[in-house]
Amino acid sequence: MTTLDLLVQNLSRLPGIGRKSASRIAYYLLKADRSYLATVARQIAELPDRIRSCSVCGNYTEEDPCSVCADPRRDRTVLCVVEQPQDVQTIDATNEYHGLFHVLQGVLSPIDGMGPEKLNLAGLLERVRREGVREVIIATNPTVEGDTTGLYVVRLLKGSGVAVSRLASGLPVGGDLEYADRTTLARSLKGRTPLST
Amino acid sequence: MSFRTLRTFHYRNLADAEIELSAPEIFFVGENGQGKTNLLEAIYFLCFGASFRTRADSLLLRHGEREMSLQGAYVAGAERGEILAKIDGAAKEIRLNGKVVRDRKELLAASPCIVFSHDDLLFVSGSPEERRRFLNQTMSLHDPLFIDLLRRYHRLLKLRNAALRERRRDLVELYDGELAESGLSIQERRERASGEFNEIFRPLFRSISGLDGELDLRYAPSWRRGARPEEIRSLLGSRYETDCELGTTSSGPHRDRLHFSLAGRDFSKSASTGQLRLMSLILRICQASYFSKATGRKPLLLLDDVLLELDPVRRERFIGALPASDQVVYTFLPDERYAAFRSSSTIVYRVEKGAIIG
Repeated sequence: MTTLDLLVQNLSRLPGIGRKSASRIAYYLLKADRSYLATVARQIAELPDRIRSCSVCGNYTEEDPCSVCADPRRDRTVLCVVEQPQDVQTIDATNEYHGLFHVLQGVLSPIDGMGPEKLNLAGLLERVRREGVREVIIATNPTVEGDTTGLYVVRLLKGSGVAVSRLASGLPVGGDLEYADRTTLARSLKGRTPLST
Repeated sequence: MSFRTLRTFHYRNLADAEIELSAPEIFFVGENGQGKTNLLEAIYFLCFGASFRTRADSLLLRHGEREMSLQGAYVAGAERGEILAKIDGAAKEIRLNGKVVRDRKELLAASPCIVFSHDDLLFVSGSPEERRRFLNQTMSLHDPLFIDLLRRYHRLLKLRNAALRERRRDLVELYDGELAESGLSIQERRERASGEFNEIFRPLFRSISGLDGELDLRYAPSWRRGARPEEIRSLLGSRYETDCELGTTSSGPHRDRLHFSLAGRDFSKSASTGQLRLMSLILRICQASYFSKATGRKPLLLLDDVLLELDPVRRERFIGALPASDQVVYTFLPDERYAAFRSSSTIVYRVEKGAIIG
């Protein structure tokens, strides 16, 4: 196997990159100038040394605690529980949420060997107990695994005195009813919200 | 709906060709092993993105080839459309009017078809799983929500079984509640559907078979009828130890049964092969009628060598009972008296060695 073949093979392991894209990227890199290659290579090599998990919420960060946890303007009584570090950015980008986050680092899935002990649940309980949290918002994905993980968190927090809620799921904003798939519609019917009259 | 044309490329033993299908009835006539059923399968594949004969898509490729494609132009009411299915190595892609289909259930909205094949015998005489498959299929044809419900239930079941094998009681209990809820929804829908289905099935069977007495399709759910989720949760809880030892969940909709009962007795056990065959054909007719009743749409019917096994009287009655459809595609052996069933608009194709010869 040539160096180029090996590179294509390694690139095609990346998410969303198939063999064809991997080979396009490899040929692009072949033509790219040396300083660009050196910079990208260095950035990739430095990732595990520079980026680590925030010891408070589990988000990826270069500083510990992360910028979200360290931000004094944030509401420290509300915690949003997410599956992955990427979800923190997604929710934060809405500018609608001003509380703190807690990253579970996965979902319960005994098929894949993911039991509760592999999730960052102990840290969540600890934070709820010690940091004066009043509300926990569960923002796991609306999948079977995400839903049951959410339920597990609810059980775990029973008796702790915090209010627990789950992100609403249903119709996309700006979308037409006729284009919504039936599952989404059925779920939004179930989770409909009352209007005052 | 009906197909106007079918194009096949590197598909099974069929010669690459575009076949004209603009007629309410199409007959494919040929000896065994010439490719008649492959043609039906190609149409079915365009309708559902899967074969009715195999789950291994690789078997659909012509021997020695890496890729194949099927293309069909269809008409459904006022709508004209096109479905393209491609298999390239292990990758399968289906496009409906140029857009990639991400979930096969999207195809159901465009192009339902109902196939009558020899394997349907399993619906009446096969394992409980095969019989449930019939009911699931009948309901899924017009109700995509039922497909989602089934998928969710089976995912939960898989997770619960994995938790059982690790004796994680905390997780098992977590899944119990969810399983009870989605399982009861499935049970309720199956109960209702089998009742409605019976209304069509009972009179039709009587008129075609000529048998005395009522043949009933009976749905026997694994959980008690009308049970509340809490009751099921405690039932699942009480079986925790047994389930752990078995490594699997011992009750629920995945254990539901379907019986065919004639005057209170299990008819599948006493029926002759001919009667079983007839039952399976009538089930398919009812499936098509049930679909039309629920959606107001007419399905496409595919009949694979099914008339061969019926005596002349029942054959007449069977053809007479076929529900209204936009198109029917039959396969026949050359010595069958198919001319009796053709009309002036029927297209008859001779199939030999994978090619249409006229």
